[in-house]
Amino acid sequence: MQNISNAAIADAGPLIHLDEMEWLFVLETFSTVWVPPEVADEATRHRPHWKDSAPANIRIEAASPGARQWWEAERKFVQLDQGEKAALALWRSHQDAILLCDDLQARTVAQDFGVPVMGTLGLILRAAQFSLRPIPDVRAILTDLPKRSTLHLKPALLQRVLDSLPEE
Amino acid sequence: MNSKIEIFLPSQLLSKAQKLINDGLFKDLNDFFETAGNYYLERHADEMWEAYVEHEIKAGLHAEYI
Repeated sequence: MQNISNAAIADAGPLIHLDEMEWLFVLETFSTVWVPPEVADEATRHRPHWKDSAPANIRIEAASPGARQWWEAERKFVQLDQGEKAALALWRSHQDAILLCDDLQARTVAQDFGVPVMGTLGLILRAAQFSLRPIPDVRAILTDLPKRSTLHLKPALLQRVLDSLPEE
Repeated sequence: MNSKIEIFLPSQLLSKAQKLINDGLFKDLNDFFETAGNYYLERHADEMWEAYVEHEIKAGLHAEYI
Protein backbone atom coordinates (compact mmCIF):
# COMPACT_ATOMS: atom_id res chain seq x y z
CA MET A 1 0.00 0.00 0.00
CA GLN A 2 1.21 3.52 -0.78
CA ASN A 3 1.86 5.76 2.16
CA ILE A 4 -1.25 7.44 3.42
CA SER A 5 -1.04 11.19 3.36
CA ASN A 6 -4.04 13.46 2.99
CA ALA A 7 -6.69 13.92 5.56
CA ALA A 8 -10.27 14.01 4.36
CA ILE A 9 -13.56 15.55 5.39
CA ALA A 10 -16.60 13.43 4.65
CA ASP A 11 -20.04 14.38 3.50
CA ALA A 12 -22.74 11.76 4.05
CA GLY A 13 -22.99 10.41 0.48
CA PRO A 14 -19.68 8.53 0.31
CA LEU A 15 -20.11 7.20 3.88
CA ILE A 16 -23.56 5.85 2.97
CA HIS A 17 -22.54 4.44 -0.42
CA LEU A 18 -19.35 2.82 0.83
CA ASP A 19 -21.18 1.28 3.79
CA GLU A 20 -23.85 -0.09 1.45
CA MET A 21 -21.07 -1.90 -0.43
CA GLU A 22 -19.07 -2.79 2.70
CA TRP A 23 -16.15 -0.76 1.38
CA LEU A 24 -15.66 1.77 4.17
CA PHE A 25 -12.21 0.27 4.68
CA VAL A 26 -10.94 2.39 1.77
CA LEU A 27 -11.04 5.39 4.10
CA GLU A 28 -7.92 3.87 5.70
CA THR A 29 -6.00 5.50 2.86
CA PHE A 30 -6.39 8.87 4.59
CA SER A 31 -4.51 9.94 7.67
CA THR A 32 -7.74 11.15 9.29
CA VAL A 33 -11.32 11.39 8.08
CA TRP A 34 -13.10 14.28 9.78
CA VAL A 35 -16.86 13.92 9.96
CA PRO A 36 -19.08 16.81 11.08
CA PRO A 37 -21.83 15.75 13.54
CA GLU A 38 -24.52 16.74 11.01
CA VAL A 39 -22.98 14.37 8.47
CA ALA A 40 -22.60 11.55 11.02
CA ASP A 41 -26.28 11.95 11.94
CA GLU A 42 -27.36 11.90 8.30
CA ALA A 43 -25.28 8.80 7.59
CA THR A 44 -26.75 7.13 10.68
CA ARG A 45 -30.29 7.88 9.53
CA HIS A 46 -29.57 5.97 6.30
CA ARG A 47 -27.13 3.38 7.66
CA PRO A 48 -27.66 2.98 11.42
CA HIS A 49 -24.55 0.82 11.91
CA TRP A 50 -22.08 2.53 9.57
CA LYS A 51 -19.76 3.48 12.43
CA ASP A 52 -19.31 -0.20 13.32
CA SER A 53 -17.69 -0.79 9.92
CA ALA A 54 -15.77 2.48 9.75
CA PRO A 55 -11.99 2.45 10.18
CA ALA A 56 -10.38 3.84 13.32
CA ASN A 57 -9.22 7.07 11.67
CA ILE A 58 -12.75 8.56 11.66
CA ARG A 59 -13.03 11.64 13.89
CA ILE A 60 -16.30 13.43 14.59
CA GLU A 61 -15.64 17.17 14.73
CA ALA A 62 -17.89 20.19 14.49
CA ALA A 63 -16.93 23.24 12.46
CA SER A 64 -15.89 26.26 14.50
CA PRO A 65 -18.41 29.09 15.01
CA GLY A 66 -16.16 31.33 12.90
CA ALA A 67 -16.23 28.89 10.00
CA ARG A 68 -19.99 28.60 10.27
CA GLN A 69 -20.33 32.36 10.14
CA TRP A 70 -18.16 32.36 7.06
CA TRP A 71 -20.39 29.96 5.16
CA GLU A 72 -23.57 31.47 6.49
CA ALA A 73 -22.43 34.72 4.85
CA GLU A 74 -21.87 32.93 1.55
CA ARG A 75 -24.94 33.07 -0.62
CA LYS A 76 -23.54 30.24 -2.71
CA PHE A 77 -24.20 27.85 0.12
CA VAL A 78 -27.89 28.52 0.52
CA GLN A 79 -29.03 25.56 -1.55
CA LEU A 80 -26.77 23.00 0.12
CA ASP A 81 -28.03 20.75 2.89
CA GLN A 82 -26.85 20.97 6.49
CA GLY A 83 -24.28 18.19 6.14
CA GLU A 84 -22.71 19.68 3.04
CA LYS A 85 -22.54 23.11 4.64
CA ALA A 86 -21.00 21.63 7.78
CA ALA A 87 -18.40 19.70 5.80
CA LEU A 88 -17.39 22.79 3.82
CA ALA A 89 -17.24 24.87 6.99
CA LEU A 90 -15.05 22.22 8.65
CA TRP A 91 -12.67 22.44 5.70
CA ARG A 92 -11.82 25.97 6.87
CA SER A 93 -10.04 24.31 9.82
CA HIS A 94 -8.45 21.50 7.77
CA GLN A 95 -7.42 23.05 4.50
CA ASP A 96 -5.06 20.23 3.60
CA ALA A 97 -8.02 17.84 3.54
CA ILE A 98 -9.91 16.44 0.57
CA LEU A 99 -13.68 16.80 0.68
CA LEU A 100 -15.41 13.46 0.13
CA CYS A 101 -18.70 14.27 -1.54
CA ASP A 102 -21.00 12.96 -4.27
CA ASP A 103 -23.47 15.82 -4.46
CA LEU A 104 -22.92 17.60 -7.77
CA GLN A 105 -23.96 21.00 -6.51
CA ALA A 106 -21.84 20.79 -3.36
CA ARG A 107 -18.87 19.64 -5.43
CA THR A 108 -19.28 22.64 -7.73
CA VAL A 109 -19.37 25.01 -4.77
CA ALA A 110 -16.34 23.29 -3.23
CA GLN A 111 -14.34 23.52 -6.42
CA ASP A 112 -15.24 27.20 -6.73
CA PHE A 113 -13.55 27.64 -3.36
CA GLY A 114 -10.52 25.57 -4.39
CA VAL A 115 -11.44 22.63 -2.18
CA PRO A 116 -10.14 19.31 -3.58
CA VAL A 117 -13.00 16.86 -3.97
CA MET A 118 -13.35 13.11 -4.35
CA GLY A 119 -16.48 10.97 -4.41
CA THR A 120 -17.46 7.34 -3.99
CA LEU A 121 -16.16 6.32 -7.41
CA GLY A 122 -12.80 7.92 -6.80
CA LEU A 123 -12.60 6.24 -3.41
CA ILE A 124 -13.27 2.82 -4.93
CA LEU A 125 -10.59 3.46 -7.57
CA ARG A 126 -8.28 4.61 -4.81
CA ALA A 127 -8.38 1.07 -3.43
CA ALA A 128 -6.66 -0.04 -6.63
CA GLN A 129 -4.26 2.91 -6.61
CA PHE A 130 -3.21 2.08 -3.04
CA SER A 131 -3.17 -1.69 -3.73
CA LEU A 132 -5.73 -2.20 -0.99
CA ARG A 133 -7.64 -4.55 -3.28
CA PRO A 134 -6.63 -6.30 -6.53
CA ILE A 135 -8.00 -4.90 -9.79
CA PRO A 136 -10.53 -7.76 -10.26
CA ASP A 137 -12.08 -6.92 -6.88
CA VAL A 138 -12.33 -3.25 -7.81
CA ARG A 139 -13.86 -4.17 -11.16
CA ALA A 140 -16.36 -6.47 -9.42
CA ILE A 141 -17.54 -3.89 -6.89
CA LEU A 142 -17.92 -1.26 -9.61
CA THR A 143 -19.92 -3.72 -11.72
CA ASP A 144 -22.17 -4.41 -8.73
CA LEU A 145 -22.53 -0.74 -7.83
CA PRO A 146 -26.06 -0.33 -9.32
CA LYS A 147 -27.28 -3.34 -7.29
CA ARG A 148 -25.42 -2.68 -4.08
CA SER A 149 -25.58 1.06 -3.65
CA THR A 150 -27.93 4.00 -3.95
CA LEU A 151 -25.40 5.92 -6.04
CA HIS A 152 -27.22 6.10 -9.35
CA LEU A 153 -25.03 6.34 -12.40
CA LYS A 154 -25.87 5.90 -16.06
CA PRO A 155 -24.56 2.55 -17.41
CA ALA A 156 -22.41 4.33 -20.02
CA LEU A 157 -20.70 6.39 -17.32
CA LEU A 158 -20.13 3.35 -15.14
CA GLN A 159 -18.62 1.62 -18.17
CA ARG A 160 -16.29 4.60 -18.61
CA VAL A 161 -15.03 4.04 -15.06
CA LEU A 162 -14.60 0.30 -15.67
CA ASP A 163 -12.68 1.03 -18.88
CA SER A 164 -10.32 3.29 -16.95
CA LEU A 165 -9.06 0.38 -14.85
CA PRO A 166 -5.73 -1.07 -15.94
CA GLU A 167 -5.57 -4.57 -17.36
CA GLU A 168 -5.40 -7.24 -14.70
CA MET B 1 -49.18 21.27 -11.88
CA ASN B 2 -48.04 24.51 -13.45
CA SER B 3 -46.88 27.67 -11.72
CA LYS B 4 -47.21 31.18 -13.03
CA ILE B 5 -44.07 33.34 -13.02
CA GLU B 6 -43.10 36.72 -14.41
CA ILE B 7 -39.80 37.01 -16.25
CA PHE B 8 -37.96 39.84 -17.97
CA LEU B 9 -36.26 39.01 -21.25
CA PRO B 10 -33.98 40.84 -23.65
CA SER B 11 -36.16 41.98 -26.57
CA GLN B 12 -33.90 40.19 -29.04
CA LEU B 13 -34.36 36.83 -27.30
CA LEU B 14 -38.11 37.32 -27.22
CA SER B 15 -38.11 38.15 -30.96
CA LYS B 16 -36.14 35.00 -31.76
CA ALA B 17 -38.47 32.87 -29.66
CA GLN B 18 -41.49 34.46 -31.30
CA LYS B 19 -40.09 33.70 -34.75
CA LEU B 20 -39.73 30.01 -33.85
CA ILE B 21 -43.33 30.03 -32.62
CA ASN B 22 -44.48 31.73 -35.84
CA ASP B 23 -42.57 29.10 -37.81
CA GLY B 24 -44.62 26.44 -36.04
CA LEU B 25 -41.79 24.90 -33.98
CA PHE B 26 -43.52 25.72 -30.69
CA LYS B 27 -47.15 26.24 -29.74
CA ASP B 28 -46.51 29.40 -27.74
CA LEU B 29 -44.00 31.04 -25.39
CA ASN B 30 -44.91 28.63 -22.58
CA ASP B 31 -44.10 25.70 -24.85
CA PHE B 32 -40.84 27.32 -25.95
CA PHE B 33 -39.56 28.02 -22.43
CA GLU B 34 -40.66 24.68 -21.05
CA THR B 35 -38.78 22.90 -23.83
CA ALA B 36 -35.75 25.14 -23.52
CA GLY B 37 -35.65 24.77 -19.72
CA ASN B 38 -35.95 20.99 -19.80
CA TYR B 39 -33.36 20.75 -22.55
CA TYR B 40 -30.90 22.84 -20.59
CA LEU B 41 -31.44 20.98 -17.33
CA GLU B 42 -31.06 17.55 -18.89
CA ARG B 43 -28.02 18.55 -20.88
CA HIS B 44 -26.42 20.31 -17.97
CA ALA B 45 -26.97 17.37 -15.62
CA ASP B 46 -25.44 14.99 -18.15
CA GLU B 47 -22.43 17.21 -18.53
CA MET B 48 -22.04 17.47 -14.78
CA TRP B 49 -22.16 13.68 -14.36
CA GLU B 50 -19.64 13.21 -17.15
CA ALA B 51 -17.36 15.73 -15.49
CA TYR B 52 -17.91 13.96 -12.16
CA VAL B 53 -16.81 10.62 -13.62
CA GLU B 54 -13.75 12.04 -15.35
CA HIS B 55 -12.77 13.84 -12.16
CA GLU B 56 -13.20 10.66 -10.11
CA ILE B 57 -10.95 8.69 -12.46
CA LYS B 58 -8.25 11.33 -12.16
CA ALA B 59 -8.66 11.72 -8.42
CA GLY B 60 -8.94 8.05 -7.55
CA LEU B 61 -6.92 6.15 -10.10
CA HIS B 62 -4.33 8.64 -11.23
CA ALA B 63 -3.66 9.88 -7.73
CA GLU B 64 -4.43 13.53 -8.29
CA TYR B 65 -4.60 13.85 -4.53
CA ILE B 66 -2.07 11.68 -2.68
